[in-house]
Amino acid sequence: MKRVPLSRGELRELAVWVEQACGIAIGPDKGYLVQSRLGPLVEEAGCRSYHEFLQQVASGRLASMRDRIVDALTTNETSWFREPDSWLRFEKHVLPLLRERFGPRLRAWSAACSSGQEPYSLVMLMAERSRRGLDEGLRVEVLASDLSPSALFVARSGRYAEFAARRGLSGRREAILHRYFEREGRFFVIRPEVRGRVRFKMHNLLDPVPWVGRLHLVMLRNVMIYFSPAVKEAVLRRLTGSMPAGAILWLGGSETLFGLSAPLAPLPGVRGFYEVKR
Amino acid sequence: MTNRPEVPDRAAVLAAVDAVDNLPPFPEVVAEVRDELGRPDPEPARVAALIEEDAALAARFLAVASAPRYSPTAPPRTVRQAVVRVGLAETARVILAVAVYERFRRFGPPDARAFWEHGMAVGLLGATLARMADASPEVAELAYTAGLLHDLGELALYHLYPEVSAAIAARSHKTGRPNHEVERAALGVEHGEVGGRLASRWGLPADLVAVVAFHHRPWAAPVDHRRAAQLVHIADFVAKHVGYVRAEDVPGEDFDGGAWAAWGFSLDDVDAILERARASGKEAAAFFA
Repeated sequence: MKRVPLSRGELRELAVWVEQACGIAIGPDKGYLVQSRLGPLVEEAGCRSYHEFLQQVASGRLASMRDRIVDALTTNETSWFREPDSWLRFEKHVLPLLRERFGPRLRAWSAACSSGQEPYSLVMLMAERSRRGLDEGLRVEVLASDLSPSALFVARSGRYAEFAARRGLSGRREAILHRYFEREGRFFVIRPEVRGRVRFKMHNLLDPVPWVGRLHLVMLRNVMIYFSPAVKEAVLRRLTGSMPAGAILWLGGSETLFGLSAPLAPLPGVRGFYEVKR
Repeated sequence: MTNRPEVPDRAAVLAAVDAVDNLPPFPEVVAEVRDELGRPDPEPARVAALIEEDAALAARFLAVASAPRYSPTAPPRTVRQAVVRVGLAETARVILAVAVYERFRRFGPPDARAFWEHGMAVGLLGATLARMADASPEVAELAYTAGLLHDLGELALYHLYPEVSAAIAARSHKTGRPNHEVERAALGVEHGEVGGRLASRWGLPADLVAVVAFHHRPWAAPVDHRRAAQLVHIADFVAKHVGYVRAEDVPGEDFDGGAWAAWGFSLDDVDAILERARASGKEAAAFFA
């Protein structure tokens, strides 16, 4: 299904309604956020445009959508080691494979890193493994990018309010909070040795890959679900252009590339991971 | 919350702000000191005389001027000496902060000190960011003043509706949503607009009114004042992000990417901005200590 376009006028119209309905202020730079969060709802409602969607919601015909719109615009899914099973699969199957294929110098790119939880999780995972005496000689260069300056500001600063710092770090992962963060009042701050291991850049996935050189692992989790097939293919074309054969694309747990034209194949037996095929 | 009868709607809030007669007026000494400093030959003695008209203000000003940064050896003995130590331009900034704090600390959120500390941190950082970006001294001055006063509307809302405001703060804290969003959902108006309205009623300059009114929605500010609103918007986010925020307030989760781009900041500036934000926060904390 083609992504429903969002014009500037519709964004303004939507911003006025959302602000009145639930107080959320949507700036003109949030078109991407609105499309990614509300696009599925617009499609679900069978509307051909945001204008039509809004009219239906405002008129009461789609009144039940109101709470879902608020949820969609306010829910922040980001957490440390998001989708823990996927991280276990990465650790058990993918990391050894990458080392076997590309040697001890690996480059990983978290391509929609939001406020930094994903790339820092990778650095912390590697540090944890190193503590356990694993991966001797292995070095992973971690690159990260996002479209949002605000998210990147937080990522680069490595500072998280307590509720954000604790998301995903309960139970057996709680030790990570104490090991790799320093407490500063109501905040947790990533320790400099972890923070310094990630290079951040502002980047739109539709633009050329911002890094020079080959990428052995690209993390693109729970981002593609918001794109139309044509956009997905364009993004994949760009990414795989910087990935050697055998490099790995890491998707969200519920995502697939089924039906898309791209030089990628599912990594056998490892759900959520694809390998570049030439 | 919106369905509770005791929660006022937008029209009621704005009418109350327009009618509020038990909030004291904006301190006149601020404008008087500025007027004196705007003269071709500003005189420390005349500035001191204006300050001395209010004993509480004079005492607080002397205390600020006694800080090691202004008085490394012995504290000033007179207000005139204090004006000389602090310097004329800086005196105007200090008097603004001292005067609004002295006048309004009994109004607004319960933790007045944290409230004004946050305001001053935003003001100092806003002015610093303006200088970092080579903006004019006038813009830096506006950023300082507007930063200090940016949450004026919260003060008015707390004064007019203490229980509703406390509930809004609690909800914001519980849900992690910024208080201006919760305010707008509950009342149909947020503290920026309320503050702008109050500032306008007090006859404060139009640029200051606009920045206060639009500090959470800088993209909607009148074009002439948009850049200053963007600056205070970013400074507000950063001050919260480094911890200079009231206990029940939620650290800023998002700022407008357009504001960031308009000021030409980049990711390479983040460390320097954070460092300056910490320094601004420390200075603000020391000021109200």
